[in-house]
Amino acid sequence: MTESSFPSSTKLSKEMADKIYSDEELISRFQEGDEYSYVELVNRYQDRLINFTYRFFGDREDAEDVVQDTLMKLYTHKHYYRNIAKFSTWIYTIASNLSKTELRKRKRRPHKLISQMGLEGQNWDVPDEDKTNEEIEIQFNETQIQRAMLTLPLHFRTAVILRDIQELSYEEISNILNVPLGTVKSRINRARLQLQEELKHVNETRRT
Amino acid sequence: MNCYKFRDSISLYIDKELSIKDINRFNHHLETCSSCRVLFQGTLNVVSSMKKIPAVTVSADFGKRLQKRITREQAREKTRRRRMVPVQRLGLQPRYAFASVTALVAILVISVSIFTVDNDDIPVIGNTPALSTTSEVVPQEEPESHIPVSSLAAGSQEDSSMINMPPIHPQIQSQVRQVSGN
Repeated sequence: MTESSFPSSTKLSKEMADKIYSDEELISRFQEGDEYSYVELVNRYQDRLINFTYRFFGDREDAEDVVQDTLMKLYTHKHYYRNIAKFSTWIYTIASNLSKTELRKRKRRPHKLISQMGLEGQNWDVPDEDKTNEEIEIQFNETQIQRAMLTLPLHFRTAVILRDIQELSYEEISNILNVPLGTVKSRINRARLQLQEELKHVNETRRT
Repeated sequence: MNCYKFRDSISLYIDKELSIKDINRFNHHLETCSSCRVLFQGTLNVVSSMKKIPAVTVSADFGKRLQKRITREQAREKTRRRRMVPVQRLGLQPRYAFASVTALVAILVISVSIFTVDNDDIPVIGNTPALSTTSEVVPQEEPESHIPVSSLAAGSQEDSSMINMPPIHPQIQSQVRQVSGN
C-alpha cells in the first residue's frame, strides 16, 4: 500500500456507510487484508486513546506519540488479536503497556520538566478575556486534576483514568490491566481518595 | 458499618456496585458520621470533576503522520523481504537452516542406501528352478555351489530348504555320498 493508496476517510465513509461494523468485525476484516477497516478503527479510537494517554502523561506530544505507536502496533501486529477478547480491551492494553514503557524511559532520562507542571504550562496562561467565568473554572479544575493525577502511582493512575475518563467497566479494566476485579476496585477507590486529598489542599489554598 | 469499611466502599457506592444490603449500611453510616460524610462529598466532587474534563482530540496532522509511518514501515518490510535468504521465505529461521539442510541430506543418504542394496546378496526364490511351477526350466548359470543344479531340479519341493544351505565341503560331500550309497 503506497501513500497514495492509503484509504482516505472520505472513501471510507462511503464504503462503511452501508453497514456499521463492530470493532471485532473490523479487525477481522483488517486481518483478511481490508485496509479500509484499519482506517475505520483508527477513526474510532484515535481520540479515545489520546484522552487516555494525555491524562497519563499530561503532555500532548508524548500522548500523541504513544497513540501513534499503539496504532502502528495495531497495523503491524494485527494477527496477534484473537477474537476471544473485546477489541477495545486489546487496544487499551497495548496503549497502557506502551505508556508505562514510555514513562519508565522518561524516568531514566528526565526531560520536559515543564510538562510536569501539568497541561503543558497552562498554569502560566493569562486568562483569555473572551472566556466566561465558567470556562475559566473548568480550565482551572482540569489543570488541578491533571496535576493531582500525575502525583498518583502508575497503577492507581491507569485504573482511575480508565474508569473516570474512559468510563470503562470494572470488568473491562480488570481485563486490560490483567489484575483481579477486587484489585481494580481497591485501586480505583484508593486513587480517588488520594486525588480528593490532593485537591482538598488546592481548594484550601485557593480559599485562603 | 464502621469508618474503615465505609472508606473502602465509597467508590463502589458511587459506581453502584454495592448490594442493597450494603447500600443501606452505607447510607446509615453516612447519616451518623460527619467526618466520613466530608470524605464522601470530597470523593464525589473528584469523580464529577473528572467527568467534566473536556475531551481532547488528536492534532490536525495526526492522520498524515500515521500514514507516513505506515508507508515507511511498508517500505522497510519490502526491503526486509527482499533481503531474506530463501530459507526465510520458506518460514525457516536462518540459524536453523544449516541444521535443517544437514538433517535433510542425512535422511536422503539413509533412504538411498536402504533402497539400493546389492540385490545379488538376496536370494530370489522365484527364479530358482526347484521352485518354479512351470515345467519349463529356464537355463541358468550354475551357482558356485557344490550341489549340482540338476540334483536340485530333480528334488521335490520339500527339499527347497536346501537352496539356502551353504556349500558343502567336498570331503563332507563324499562322505554324504558314501552314506547315501550314491
